[in-house]
Amino acid sequence: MIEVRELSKRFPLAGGQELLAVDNVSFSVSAGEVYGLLGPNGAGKTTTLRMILGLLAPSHGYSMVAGYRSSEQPDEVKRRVGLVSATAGIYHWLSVREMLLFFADLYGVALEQAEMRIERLAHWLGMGDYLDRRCATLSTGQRQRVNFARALVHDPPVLLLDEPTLGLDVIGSQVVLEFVAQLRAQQRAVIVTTHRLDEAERLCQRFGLLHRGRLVIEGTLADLQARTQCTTLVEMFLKLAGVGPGLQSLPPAEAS
Amino acid sequence: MEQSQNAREPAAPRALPPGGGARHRLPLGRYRRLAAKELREILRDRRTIVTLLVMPLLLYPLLGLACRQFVLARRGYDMIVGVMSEEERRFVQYYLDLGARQRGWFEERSAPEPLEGEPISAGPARTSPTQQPHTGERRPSGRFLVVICTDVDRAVRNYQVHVGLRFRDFAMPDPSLLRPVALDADLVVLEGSASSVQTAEFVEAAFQAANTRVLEERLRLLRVPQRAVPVQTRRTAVRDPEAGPPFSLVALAPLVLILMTITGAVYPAIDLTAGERERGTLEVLVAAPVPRMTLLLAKYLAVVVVACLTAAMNLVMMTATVVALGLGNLLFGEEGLRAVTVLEVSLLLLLFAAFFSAVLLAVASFAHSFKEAQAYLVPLMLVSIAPGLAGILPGLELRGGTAIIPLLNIVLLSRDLLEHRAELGAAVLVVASTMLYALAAVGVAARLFGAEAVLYSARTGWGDVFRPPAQPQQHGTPSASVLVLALLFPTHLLATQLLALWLPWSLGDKLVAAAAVTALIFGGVPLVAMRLGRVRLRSGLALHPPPWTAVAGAMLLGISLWTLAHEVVVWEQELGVFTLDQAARDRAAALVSLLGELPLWLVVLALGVTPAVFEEFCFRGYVYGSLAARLSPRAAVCVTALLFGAFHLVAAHGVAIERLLPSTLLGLVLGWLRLHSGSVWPGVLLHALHNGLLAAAAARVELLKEWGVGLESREHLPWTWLAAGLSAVLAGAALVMLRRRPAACDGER
Repeated sequence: MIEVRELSKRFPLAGGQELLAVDNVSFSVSAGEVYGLLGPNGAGKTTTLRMILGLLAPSHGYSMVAGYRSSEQPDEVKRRVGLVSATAGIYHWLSVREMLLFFADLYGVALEQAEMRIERLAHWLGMGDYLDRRCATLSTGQRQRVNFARALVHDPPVLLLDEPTLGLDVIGSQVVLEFVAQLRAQQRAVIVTTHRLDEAERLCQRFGLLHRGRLVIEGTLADLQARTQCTTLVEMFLKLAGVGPGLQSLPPAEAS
Repeated sequence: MEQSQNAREPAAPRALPPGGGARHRLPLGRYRRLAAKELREILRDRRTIVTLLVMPLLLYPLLGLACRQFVLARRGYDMIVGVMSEEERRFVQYYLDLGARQRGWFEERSAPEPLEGEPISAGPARTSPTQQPHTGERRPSGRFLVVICTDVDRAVRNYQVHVGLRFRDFAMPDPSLLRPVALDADLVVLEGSASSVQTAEFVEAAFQAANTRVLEERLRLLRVPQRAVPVQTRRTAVRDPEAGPPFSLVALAPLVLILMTITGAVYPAIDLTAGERERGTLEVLVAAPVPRMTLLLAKYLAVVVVACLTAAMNLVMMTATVVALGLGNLLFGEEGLRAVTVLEVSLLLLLFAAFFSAVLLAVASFAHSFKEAQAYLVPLMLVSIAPGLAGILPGLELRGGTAIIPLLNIVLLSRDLLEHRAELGAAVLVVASTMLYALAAVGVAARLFGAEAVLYSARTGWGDVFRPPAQPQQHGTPSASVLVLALLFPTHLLATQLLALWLPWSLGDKLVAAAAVTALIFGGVPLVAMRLGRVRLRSGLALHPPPWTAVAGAMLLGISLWTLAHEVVVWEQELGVFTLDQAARDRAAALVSLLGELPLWLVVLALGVTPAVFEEFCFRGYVYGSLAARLSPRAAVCVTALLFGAFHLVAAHGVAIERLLPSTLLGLVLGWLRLHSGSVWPGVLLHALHNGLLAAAAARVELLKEWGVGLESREHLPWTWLAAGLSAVLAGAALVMLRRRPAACDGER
């Protein structure tokens, strides 16, 4: 469903220099699979997601969603992807229903169908009580649910979740974890970026560890354990950050 | 960067899942719904309500009161004079009215109220220097009203009267004037009150005139051959006819309306761009499968609507204030504020809102946060006030140069509309230039809104946003071409008018300079734009070799189209469609008569061939190619022709609206030729032949007269000429249509 090949992104800096934010990254995600793109801050996780969605043009390589190349047919890709981001906001002066109807309209969903989907999502995400309340009055957890509903209102086969539990309390995070489990059950392809490794271990079937823009290791948890001799993702992460022995000596990741 | 071999992706699938479409078309209703959402959000915000409703409600009554005080102080009022008894009242009223009549202030009014015994003739004023109206003298527009008050000083202090008269031992003068009149009074004036001081001056002047009249009567009765004032001066004002009209308070009205419209548009422009970015909704918005241009246009529409609502609210409040405070005649003359004028100003405000909203969106789109956007827009608004304030300066007229300066042109045109002296030519120039600027601003906003460099880089500079594309391009972009035209329009106008005014140069030098300037402007600016946009010269200017049939057709059209163009001009003349005044036409005729003295090759090259070549490179080359890449080819032909026509509004001696239609029609033919031939060269040939023939005809007008063709006198052509011209046009068109160059050769669509 998602295919990333040799993806790189350079940002121009002052003085004619460049920042290599993503460096030759390759991986793929199938339908019904949750893929964890992990790494410390500044590793290139969000930039990779933005290139997959077609918001950023890659400097090299390509990404494809459902067979459409993101840089050439971004609208076809966008139509098939839902984006949930920790930094995604809401429209304060609209009610939850108005906001969801607006996004349904953006994705070309007919009004009757959108209303049905919103009712279904409200039931699933427990938003029935505040569906007609102004977004400005919602709590952080409620806003995150609204963002999930917004990303799902056009029923996309692919979900990109960028730090979906950032800023949420334990209960809020647990709710998100349950949503993601259901998304997997619905046979959607999901990429989750997070640095909450305990959550990642529970959520994802496969992982890609990014460090300074490079995908240094990729595979299932068992694969990673075998290759790194670490039992948990936290230990791998610490190695990645240079706190423990470096991962640079590891053989490069092979795209699956 | 080169794509590596193993990074080549498989071909994209043709079949689409349910809900997908081969091309995501946006019906008009989607634009409306997108804009409606933006409006709903903006109009629910209390900050919008304050700008939209509260500010006009507070501002206009206050401004109206201040305005009335100002106007009254400048333009006069009934002057109330307080005295202490009925006898004093009757005498002072009579004496002041007599003095006013002697000064010629109130000749249209009735004679002074007679006193018992009629001491002095109340008939027409005697003809003496003192009785002539003084043309340079300040005159009160109101009359004297004398009232009785028990305490004159207190009445003055309490603003009940403007001045008071406190007589010492008042005794009614002898009506027969046989005994001397001797009355002393204190004139009580309120310090610091302009109206009190001014009334005191008028009272003193009236008393002086009445005293003189009494003295004259006494001298006459005594048979003394001496007039009362041996040496009399009389002030006479003259005016510099070049100085233009004096300071007009009316110009303040559009300035206030424009500033309020700007205020109304600023908040939504920031909120819908930088505000969205700050709240984190912009990324999810651009993550939707809707073109950025569509999102921007919906936001633009919302900002324009809020700006227009603000303008309408302000206009309504201003009109209501004018009516309620009775300022109509004081501010707008005898006709007052007419409904038609209000409508005209509303349309002008709509145009201004369209222009400035685009500017605001472009600037705010660049900002990362609300505060940053405010930091950009506050200086912009302060800068915008400067030309607006310049608009209220006395003597500033709406002419070629001022008609193309954004904001100033709108203020001046609104002022002229409110003073019922707007001219059509200047109005067309204002509207055309403002529309062009609005398009250019939308183009810049489209480039900035949601762009990668703006959205995802904290260190973005303007240079990053306008960085050339990585790959060479076949054509320019519509936004770049509109920007080019927005730059060309004022430059072309100023250059044309400056050259016409450059007195030291001979006509030959002026022609050479005009040709050089045309080449520089119409050739140079698009070339720079192409260089910056990495547009290939060959495809960007459509320098492909044309089919020979198109060349032959263009040649036939080039030598025959002038006949039809001439007929269009004659019809316009008969219908009265012209804006060049007689003086400008005389100057143009004088210029044409001088052309005959110059070598024919110079006239044809400078006036005919050079403009033709470079205008074609610009309009049918760069602009057409940029537009055709996005619009349908027919739409590109029409838009290019309209822009071509608008550029020809500007003549060396002013704005010539009569040039719009023939130039647009010629533009349509040239665009059609470009579409069918796929090359700019046939258009160059047609245009050069057409212009060259007209230039040669202007230079050899005497020869044509001998042939019975009166081009200079704007007569219809002989029917044989017309028939021959029409046949050649049809033959040329048929030749062009014989072989059509495939559009794919141009890389269009």
